[in-house]
Amino acid sequence: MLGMIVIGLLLLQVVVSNRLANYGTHITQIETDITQLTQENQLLSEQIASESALMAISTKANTLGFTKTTTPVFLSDLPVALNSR
Amino acid sequence: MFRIKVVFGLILLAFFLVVIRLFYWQVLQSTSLTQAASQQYFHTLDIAPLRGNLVANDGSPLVANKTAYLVYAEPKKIEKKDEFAQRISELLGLTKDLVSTRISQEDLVWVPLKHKVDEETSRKIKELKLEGIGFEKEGKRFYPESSMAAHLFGFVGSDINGDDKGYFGLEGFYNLALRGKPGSLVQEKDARGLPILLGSGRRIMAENGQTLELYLDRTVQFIIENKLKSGIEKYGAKEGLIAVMDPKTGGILGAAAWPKYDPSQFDNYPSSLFPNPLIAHTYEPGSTFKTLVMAAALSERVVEPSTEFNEDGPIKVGPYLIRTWNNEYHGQMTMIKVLEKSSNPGMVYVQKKLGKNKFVDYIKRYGFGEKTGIDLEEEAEAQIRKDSEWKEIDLATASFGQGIAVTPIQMLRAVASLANDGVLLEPHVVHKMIDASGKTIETKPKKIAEVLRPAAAKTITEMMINAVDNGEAKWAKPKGYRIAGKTGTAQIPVEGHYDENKTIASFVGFAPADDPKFVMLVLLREPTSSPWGSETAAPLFFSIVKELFAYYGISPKD
Repeated sequence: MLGMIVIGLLLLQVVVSNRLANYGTHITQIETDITQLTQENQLLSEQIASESALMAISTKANTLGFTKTTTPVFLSDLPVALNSR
Repeated sequence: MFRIKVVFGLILLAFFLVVIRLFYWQVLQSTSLTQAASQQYFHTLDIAPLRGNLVANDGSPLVANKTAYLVYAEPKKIEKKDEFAQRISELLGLTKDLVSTRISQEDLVWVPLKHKVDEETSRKIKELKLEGIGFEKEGKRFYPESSMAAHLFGFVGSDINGDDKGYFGLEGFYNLALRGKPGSLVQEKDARGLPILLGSGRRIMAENGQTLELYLDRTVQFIIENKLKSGIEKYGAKEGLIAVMDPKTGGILGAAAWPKYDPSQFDNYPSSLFPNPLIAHTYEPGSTFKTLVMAAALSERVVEPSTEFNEDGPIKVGPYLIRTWNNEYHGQMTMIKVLEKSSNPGMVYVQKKLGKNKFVDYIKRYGFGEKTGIDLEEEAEAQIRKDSEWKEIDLATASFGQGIAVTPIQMLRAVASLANDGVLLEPHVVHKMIDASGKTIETKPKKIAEVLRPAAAKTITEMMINAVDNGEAKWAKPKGYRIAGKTGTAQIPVEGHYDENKTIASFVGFAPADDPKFVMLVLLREPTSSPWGSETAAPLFFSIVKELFAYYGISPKD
C-alpha cells in the first residue's frame, strides 16, 4: 500500500515538474508583455504630458484665435436673485 | 623486479599528476569556473530604477522620464566599417572619425557610441538593419514644459562612473531621493534560455525614485516666465529675475530667471548660466530694504508713522553727505512720507533712532548673513559685516539698502515676514515627497523667528500701501486693489566704486495687502530704457499682479 502511494507521489512529482518546466515559456511571454505594456504606458504618459503642457495649450489657443482677457469684470452689489443661495 | 618498480613509479607519478591537475581545477580555478558555469545556467539582469518625477501643485508633470537608449557597436561583427561609420554618425550626430575610431577597436566585444538616444532616432537606426549595432534601454529626463523653471529644477548629467546624477536646483539637492535604488534579477535558465521555475534564483525589485510635489503653480510660473521675457526686451535689461512666494507657508509658487538654459541640452550652454540667481547671486537691495528698516523701528517703537523728520538737505555722516535719489528735499515729513518719497536722509534718521546694536540685530533676525535653508543646491551665503566692523557710514548706507549684499531669496523671505504678521519662515520649493508605495512626507511651514510685533507688521503694510498709491509708480498700479510694495534702484558696485550708469532696478511687494496671497520680487539688472525701478521693475510687477489677480479670482473688493 505504502509502495503504491510512493509510486503515485513520484509520478505526480514528475507530472508537476514537467508542467512547471514548460511554464518557463509562459513566464517569458508574460514578462515580454509586461515590458511592452510598460513601454506603451510610458509613451502614453509622455504624450499626455506633452499635450497638456501649458506651453502646448497656449500655442494651440493662439492658433485657434483665442485671446487673453485683458481685464476681468467683477460683479459687485449683485441683484438679490443672483446673490441668494 | 626493476620493471615492476618502474611501472609502480609511473603509476604513482600519474596519480600524482592527476592530483595536481585536480587541485588546479578544483581549488585554484574554482572561482572562475563557478562563475563561468553560473553564466551558463543563470540569467542575471540589472533592473534600473526610474528617476522620480517633479510635479506641480496640481499634480501635472514638470520633469518626467522618457525612454532612451544607449547605442553601442560590436566591432567584431561589423564588416563594412567605413559605411557603418558614415551612416551611424549621421543619425547620432557624431563625427565619422569618432565612430570609426571606436569601431576599429577589434579587441573589444562592444563599444558605446552614444547615451540617451531618443526613441525616434533609435527607430531610424534599427531600420538600417546594420550588423553589429545594439541598444540598451536607459532613462532620460523629459521636460513637458520645455525650459520652464530650468533654474529651479537643475538638470541630470553623469557622474564619473557614467551614472545619472542631478546637478543644481532640485535635481542636485534631492538627487538621493530622486535616483531610487537599483534592483537585480538572477534566475536559472534552461538550454533554450528560458527560466526554470523549480530552479534557484532571486529577484530584488528596483525602488523607483520619489516623486516631488512642489509648491510651484505652473500657471503662476507660466505667467512670470512670459512677463519676464517681455520685460527684459521692453526695458533692455541685461538680466532679470522674478520670484513669487506664499507668505503663509514659505512655499515658492514660481521663480523665473533670464537668461535661462534648456536643461535637456545643458551641455550647449555655458556653465555660468546654471546657478540659480535667486539663491546664488547677491545684489544690493537699494530702497526696497527701507521697508525692513522702517518695520524694525516701528516694532521697537522708536518711531511712529506720524513721527516727523525735517528733510532740509543732505544729511552729514562723518565726512560724507547722504542725498535723496533726485537731490530734491521736502522739508518736514512724517515716516509715511519718508517711505513714500523714498528718502535716504529720512532712513538715516530712522537708523539712528534704532541704534547700531538694534539695527544689526534686526538685520540678522531677518535672516541676512546666513543661508535661508531653501531646498535648492547652490544657495550662496551672503555675508554681512562682523558686529565690530560696522562704521557709522556703513550703518547709514545700509539703512537705504546700499553697502549690504543679499541674495534675492533672502530679500523675498524678509519681506514675506512683513506679510505674515512679522513671522519669518523657511522657504521651500518641495511640498511633498511621495515614494513608490504612495507614502507621503509633507513639508510643513517652518517658523524661523518672530521678527516683528504683529502690530508693526500691520503698520508697515499700511505704509507700503501708501507708498504704492502715492509713489513714483502709482500710474502702473491696478485700480481698486490694496497692494503693499516698494521700488528700489541700487547702483552696482564695480571694483570698489559705484558705476553711475549701471543699476539694479527692483520692486518687492505683496497682495492683496489685507490677506496676502503672494509676495513677489521683480529684479532687472542694468535696464537701459530707464535706470529707475519705478519706471521698469514696478510696471512689470503690476502687470504680473493684474494677471495673478485674474488667475486667483481676486476682485478689487478682496
